[in-house]
Amino acid sequence: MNLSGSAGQDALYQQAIDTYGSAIERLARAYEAAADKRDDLLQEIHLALWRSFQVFEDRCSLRTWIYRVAHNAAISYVVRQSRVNSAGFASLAELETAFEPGQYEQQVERRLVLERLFKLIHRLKPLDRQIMLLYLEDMDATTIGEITGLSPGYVRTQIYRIKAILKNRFHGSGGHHG
Amino acid sequence: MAAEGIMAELEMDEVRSIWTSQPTAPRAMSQQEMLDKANKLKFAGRSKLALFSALGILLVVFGVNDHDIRFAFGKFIVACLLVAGWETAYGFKNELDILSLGLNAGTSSSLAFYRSELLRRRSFFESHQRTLAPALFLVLGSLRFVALSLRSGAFINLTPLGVFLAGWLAFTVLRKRRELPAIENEILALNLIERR
Repeated sequence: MNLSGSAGQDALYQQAIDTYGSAIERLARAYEAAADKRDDLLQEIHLALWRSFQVFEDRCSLRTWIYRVAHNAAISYVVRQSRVNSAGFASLAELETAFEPGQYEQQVERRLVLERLFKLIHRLKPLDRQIMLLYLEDMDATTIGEITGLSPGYVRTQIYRIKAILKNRFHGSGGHHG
Repeated sequence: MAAEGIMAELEMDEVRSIWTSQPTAPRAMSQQEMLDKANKLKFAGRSKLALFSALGILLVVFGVNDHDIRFAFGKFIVACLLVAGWETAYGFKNELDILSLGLNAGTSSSLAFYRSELLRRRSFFESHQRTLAPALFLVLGSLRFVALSLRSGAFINLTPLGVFLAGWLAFTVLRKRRELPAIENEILALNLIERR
């Protein structure tokens, strides 16, 4: 494998990490709960990202490219780990009906909110998980559609479901966190 | 209604804010770290290859001398190790080349990429050759041992062969039954999503 990248490739990679490094870390956490394995996944994503800039030709925005590569590397990881649909994974549609309003405490610590978010995310199927993550990263339906290849209409429906699920799970906790 | 909408939006924003403000320590990997990671991946591949080569040589050595029942038994054991090793190293994980992942991951949408990964995995489970070839290999590897055992009346010798063959077949069939329907369902779900 040739690892003597061009200056442009290195610069793009550096720019990607400077701008989206945190989002990539969050993504790795969302795809792998075990800390020791997560480092491996993170390194795989970094390697895939760096390699991908060999063929990046402004076909899409840098952001779209980075998220595609990172998510596809993570999806590949999930499939390799034989976790396509092993027992636990559910679709957004299934989760929508799984939680009753008022089931959760009104006041939760920030950490607990995150824990719940991770529990929720780790249960999702890859594509739904991706929509959820991109939504949490503050992206709109069009951008999510561009990254995932899903129609914006479908993405909007899923976002509506995500909102409903999050509202059920975190209702009342929002205003108490600084 | 407007106030309720704003409140819901604020809550969503709050959840998103909690999500995006998780403590992180992003850092670009250095060239050396990239090289180390790539070498580690390559080393894993080469180690497997070396192990398989060593077992292959051992198989030939035992095969040449398999008129002796001890060597014939050794050949059978090596054949078992090769089958088990193949299933563990390649069959079970069905790994793709991580090093080339970056070259096509950016040009495919996640939907297309996910589908291609699922199809690759489905073809692995659907392939009869992948199931039958190791079984055939195992049978061929044990023929001499079986023949010598039968000739000497040591029928008990057939027990390890039966146990391994049955265990391997059960493992293969159960894994296929467990994983293939999940993959099929996921592909069907993707088809439905694409039609929307």
